[in-house]
Amino acid sequence: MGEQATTASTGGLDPAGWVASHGEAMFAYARLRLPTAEAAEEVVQEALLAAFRSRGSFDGRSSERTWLIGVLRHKVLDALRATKKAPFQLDDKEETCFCKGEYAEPMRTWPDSVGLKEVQESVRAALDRLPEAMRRALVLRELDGLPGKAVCEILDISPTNLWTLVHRGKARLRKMLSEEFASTGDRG
Amino acid sequence: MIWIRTIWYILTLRCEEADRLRSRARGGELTRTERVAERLHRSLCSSCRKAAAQLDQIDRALEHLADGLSEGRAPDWDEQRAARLDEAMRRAQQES
Repeated sequence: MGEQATTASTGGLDPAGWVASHGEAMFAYARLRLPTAEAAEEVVQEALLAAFRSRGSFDGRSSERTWLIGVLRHKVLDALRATKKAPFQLDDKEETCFCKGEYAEPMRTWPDSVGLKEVQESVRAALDRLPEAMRRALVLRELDGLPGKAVCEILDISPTNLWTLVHRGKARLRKMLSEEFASTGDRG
Repeated sequence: MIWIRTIWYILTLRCEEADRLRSRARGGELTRTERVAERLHRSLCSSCRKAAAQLDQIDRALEHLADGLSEGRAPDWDEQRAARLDEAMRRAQQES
């Protein structure tokens, strides 16, 4: 009875069913952008409670999930902003070795058997193994497509630092995937 | 004189700089000169063609990950997490 009353008073929203219907999608969104499962769960909970409190603002123009993800997106950005003061350190070790401006070792192509789905899963796992500053820069700039200026403001870093992080982050992803797929090719 | 510098930059671009440019290419962050220089260099350098192909695959994977919300799958999602979130929602509804 209470649940029916809640649904009726929320313009078609069904807060009691949010976790069952959208919990995993929301967690997947947050998990991809935050370093740990615990941080992602905490942010999803904050988003669900914030959405519940502001359910009166849902105008029905978007789907329930789109609206919830919109609320979650703000919470994720808040969480990333809150950790922007984490120490920003980059070691001097370059991900790709160059000799006189050229690749020190010849580039190898990945095996033909490696498909997009495999690359996608490997990238998802590899993102977690990146240093935190690199991961945050890549997620905001390359995954969410935020303008460089906005990312710099959120992470409180200079444009030069942002592009260094993005460049080295991608180079590190490429290196990790190359190592992984090289062993795949060896096995094949 | 500026055009001489531009042409010199385009003609003398090395793999290391081309590699940096490619990282910034997504999202239209490169100038026209940088784009031309990178493309010309890549057309002449097999290592850069391979590196660019790998980066392209990574970029597409990132795009798919960003668009993959409808799938909504997360490897570390489990029933305990769902139960904790459900409990928090139940409490909020009781309090309201």
